[in-house]
Amino acid sequence: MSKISIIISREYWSRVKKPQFLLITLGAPILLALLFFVLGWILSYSSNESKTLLISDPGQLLNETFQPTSAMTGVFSDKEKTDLFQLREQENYDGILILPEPDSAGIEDLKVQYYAPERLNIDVDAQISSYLNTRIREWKIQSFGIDTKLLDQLDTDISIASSTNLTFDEEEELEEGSSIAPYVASAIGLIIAFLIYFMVFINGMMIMRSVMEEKVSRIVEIMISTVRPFQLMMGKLIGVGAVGVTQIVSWMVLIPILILAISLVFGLSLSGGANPAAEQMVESGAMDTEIVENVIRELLSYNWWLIGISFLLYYVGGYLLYSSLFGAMGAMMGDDLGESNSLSIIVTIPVVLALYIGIVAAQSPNSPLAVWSSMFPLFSPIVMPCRLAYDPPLWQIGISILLLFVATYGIVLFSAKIYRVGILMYGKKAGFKEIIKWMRR
Amino acid sequence: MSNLVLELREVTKQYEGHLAVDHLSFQVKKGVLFGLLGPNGAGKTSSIRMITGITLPDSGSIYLDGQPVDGRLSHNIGYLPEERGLYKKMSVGEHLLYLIRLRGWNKKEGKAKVMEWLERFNIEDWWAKKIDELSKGMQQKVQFIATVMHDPSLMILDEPFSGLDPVNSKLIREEIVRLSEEGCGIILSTHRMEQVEELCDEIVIVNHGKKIIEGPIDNIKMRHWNGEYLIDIGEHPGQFLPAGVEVIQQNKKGLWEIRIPSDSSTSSLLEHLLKNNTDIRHFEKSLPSLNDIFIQITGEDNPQIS
Repeated sequence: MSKISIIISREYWSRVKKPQFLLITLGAPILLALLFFVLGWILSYSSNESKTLLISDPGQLLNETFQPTSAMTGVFSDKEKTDLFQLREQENYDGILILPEPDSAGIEDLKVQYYAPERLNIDVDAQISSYLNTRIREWKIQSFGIDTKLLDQLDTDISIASSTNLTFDEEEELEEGSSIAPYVASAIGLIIAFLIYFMVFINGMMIMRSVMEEKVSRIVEIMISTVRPFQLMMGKLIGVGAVGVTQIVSWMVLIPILILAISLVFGLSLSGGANPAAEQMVESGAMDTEIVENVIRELLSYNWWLIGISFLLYYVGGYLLYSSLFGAMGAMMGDDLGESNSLSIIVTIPVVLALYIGIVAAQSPNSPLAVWSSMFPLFSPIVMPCRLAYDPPLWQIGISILLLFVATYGIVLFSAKIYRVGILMYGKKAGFKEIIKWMRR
Repeated sequence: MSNLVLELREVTKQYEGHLAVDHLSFQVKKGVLFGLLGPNGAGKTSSIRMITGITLPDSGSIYLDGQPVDGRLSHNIGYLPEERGLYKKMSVGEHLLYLIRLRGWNKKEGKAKVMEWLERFNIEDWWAKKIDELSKGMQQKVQFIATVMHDPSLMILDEPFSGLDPVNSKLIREEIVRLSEEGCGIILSTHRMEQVEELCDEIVIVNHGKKIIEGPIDNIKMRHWNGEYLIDIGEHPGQFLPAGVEVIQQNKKGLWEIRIPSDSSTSSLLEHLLKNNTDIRHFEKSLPSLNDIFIQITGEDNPQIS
């Protein structure tokens, strides 16, 4: 076994065998799922405390029904305002809602009075307003004598069926599903870009910390008489990279299983019909299946071979490029851990910048910013994947990958040089002046 | 086959305009404990790094077992650096196995060899112990094993006793002597002169990258002898000594320090004492200690010898 493979094996297994690895690999998807669940619950949370309001509606705008939410109901009364206050007191209603009696259906504003011991909050305000809006619209339609069928016909669903095939073909009929194509393409790009971003970032930091630890603990002094600094650095890069791949693969297996499990468990409770919102979701299921079908049809239309291979190449290139820089940074540091965090920003900035450009590129993949950034090696591993699903010209992908690997080769050699001198200077921090000096040698 | 393990010929290394090693030559023979001495910054570490192949000399050449080193890392060297550490999260056995495999041993033989060394140090139950559970002195033991376990023909030990308690210090010292007797070439680099005097057969002292002195310790001491004797004749020796002999002082043990002029000799001094019918209880040629020689030849530039 060559030295480098022994180092890779140690770097890999020492991380994978840690209980933390198992915890993160198994725990992260569970945590993520839990987070989504909790977030969804928090965002959909509205005060479920039941409220009964006393309502005065002399104009019969609501037609004797008031049900903004399942928890909010109303009792109608045609008493005078002073009596309403008394009645609320006696019957213990939560509030009084007084609607005016409009002169005609042509009104544009409607001033409603609300009396309650509690201050009006956003939740209650939104529920009442939106409910009244709908009901008064219905009342107006009725009052004006408008045909509701006619009204429905005013709304038109627009779908753009698109194709990049510009030769005229009489037979060709564009698929309808392609109207969601840009969204699917942009989602694919963003998912890949985020994945590469996180891998580069988390693993890069991990490498920097591990290089610093080796330097601070002086193990590196023992290592350098046995292995070349370059072997040590590459062994670490490849070993940690393999840990990342292991993690991605296990998530790719675990997350769908978890999603399936969760949807099975909660799907059952949904059909139980505990709340109206869930019922609504089930009702609208018909439409959802149509969208899902379109998305699947859309997904099948991509050249996954190209996307998969490019993803792999961009991951490898981007990872090696940035991790070697992070490694060199780690070798430059002294024993001061705080300092490393401030210095690592230098490497962090291009990664973060690339992600933002990537997000823009996922929306307008052929803008000059997107095209040029996807050629620039520091950005391309994150920006180009965002464009991949939009079928960029092959020559652009080719040049971008070529440039990336040429740059990666150069930067790995450059980093190895800094790394080599950095780890030999134990206890000292290397200033930028010294680094420039080393580069000249 | 030649008796030489290591040979340096006119080795020079320059760092940013500063001459770290300046035409340094010396030889280390098999079975010889060799002391590489010098004040801080004298070029010891720079020399060691070239010997181990970590860095290349600018000029000159280094031969290990008759082969030029040329900046190649050799499995025939065991290097214990002054600043040393271990992977804290690894177990002792795993760590040693990792290092021995990096030095070209396969898993099975490496494991057996590591076990053999753990047994030799009576720490065979340490295999599964994590490094960070060990005390500093215990870690030093592991580091020592890491240096010698792969049967190198040359061992370079930089301050091997620092941080060790007397018991472990003795254990390591015995191992060093044993390995040396088995024919291993050993370079000991230290500031502790009493250890050098006790262990080393030959030394070289470097300062400012240059070799200042070299040879067997006894020879060096003789060369630096300045005519001093320690005598005890039961009374003040003043009146019984030949003319020109200087009485310096009486030391703590009651012995008199005297110095003869450079044109005189031991036999003439003894003859004179016998002629005077003195009661000679103690007569000793007082050789300078290595520490004195070291300070004498390097001291004016670097008085700080730790």
